[in-house]
Amino acid sequence: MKNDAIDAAVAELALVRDSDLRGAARTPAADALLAKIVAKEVREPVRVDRAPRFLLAGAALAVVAGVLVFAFAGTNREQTASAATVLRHAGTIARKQPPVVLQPGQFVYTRSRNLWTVTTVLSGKSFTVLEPHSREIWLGPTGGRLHEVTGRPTFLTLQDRETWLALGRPQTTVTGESDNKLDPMPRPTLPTDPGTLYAQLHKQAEANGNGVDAEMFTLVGDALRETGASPEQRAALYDVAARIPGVRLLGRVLDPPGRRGTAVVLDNEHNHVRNTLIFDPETSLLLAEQETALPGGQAPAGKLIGYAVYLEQGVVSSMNARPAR
Amino acid sequence: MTMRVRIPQTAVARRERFERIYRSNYEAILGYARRRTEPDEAADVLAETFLVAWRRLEAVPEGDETRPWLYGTARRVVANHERARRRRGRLDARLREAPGAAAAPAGDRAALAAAFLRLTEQEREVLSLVGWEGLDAKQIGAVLGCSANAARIRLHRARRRLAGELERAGWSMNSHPLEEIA
Repeated sequence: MKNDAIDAAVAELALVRDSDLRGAARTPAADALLAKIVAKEVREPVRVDRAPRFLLAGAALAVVAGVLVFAFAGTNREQTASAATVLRHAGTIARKQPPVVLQPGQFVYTRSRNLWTVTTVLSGKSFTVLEPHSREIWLGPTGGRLHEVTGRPTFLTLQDRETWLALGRPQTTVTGESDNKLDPMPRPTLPTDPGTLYAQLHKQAEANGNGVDAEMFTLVGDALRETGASPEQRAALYDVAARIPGVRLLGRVLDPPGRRGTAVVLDNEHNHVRNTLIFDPETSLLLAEQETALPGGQAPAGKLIGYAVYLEQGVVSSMNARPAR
Repeated sequence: MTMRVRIPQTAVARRERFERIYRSNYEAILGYARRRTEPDEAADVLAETFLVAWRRLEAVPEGDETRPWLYGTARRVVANHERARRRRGRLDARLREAPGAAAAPAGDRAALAAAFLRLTEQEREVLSLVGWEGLDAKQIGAVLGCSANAARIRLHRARRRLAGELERAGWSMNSHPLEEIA
């Protein structure tokens, strides 16, 4: 009996055929399930990789301590008001920037340096390390590529190292080079009306347990980086940031590569983390992000627990090309 | 072996990537579940499968490997589903009774279903992944957690086993309309 005949006979037994379900993915039931799933808190039971939702660069602690020399010294209320003014101005700048329109075969290239925490749970105990990365990403309408070099991790605290020793020195992270294909760059779907965008992000943020304001600030940061947001969308994002209660202006700073930037911060009292965004006042482009520990959290207060520094960006014509320097 | 792709996902990018995976695989995973469980259980299997994908999105491979990964997850969800196990008998009965799309004679279909149900669960699954989901050996390997070569061997044995069962039941491929489809 031929294989094809057997396979066809088995196919005959299918109680439901895919053609019977055509269109099911766009029904209200599918929409409701999707909304229910993405509202769930994301938990990794064994290993927690903390994506870089933030930050500055390698010597960032020194930067925070010493290079943010133009930090404002007003009251919180004054700083909040100033932050709103500066962020709205950044939105105005963003709106004037030329849109990035990719032709077939073109990609947006971004080079960055990142650090984030990786928590490993073993035998009911956990330890956390800080994992550094050098990252190059190519994003385009036909696909993309992520090239990453993971550096040697360091323990978040001495206690983490002691836990690691007690567990028999298990592998912490995988260092070295990786190269992966990416799906086509998703089309940005953010509304350009600030009010509508605020309502949308607020709704998303409500599902998060870390506080609505802090999550909204994070969502704004997420949308500003590597997402291909249009000038209008970027303008709306800055406008939304200006409306988030608790966002304060840190002032003019130098980021780790020495670029002038404007820093705004939001302290998250739920997870005891200070989030900082640094953007270029001339172009409104995001230069760097940073997360530092606040008192009351797992890490010592002031400890840098994550950063991302966006070093280079441009449009290139292949997934191996880099912008001309 | 599936290599873990560790791509830092921002919250927005993460949601957008998940939604693309969800929309483009919803029907396939629903079909997988509906063919193996009762309709109400299929909804649970579908939801649990995508919930796993959402929580482990960084582990979901890109491109052509996404769907086999989801099938593999759905397979484990089905296997762990207590209700699915309890109602397995009812599903088997439906398999025997349901009319086939190619309008095979009722007696032939019943004989085919009976022969299929005499196979082990693993044999049925590997044959189903080809006949119902249209997967090739490499994709079956990804679903079952084995190499493509091992999947080919399992498939070969399962086909041979089903052919033997059908021959014993006097089920002739030569006189069956499925021959035209094949």
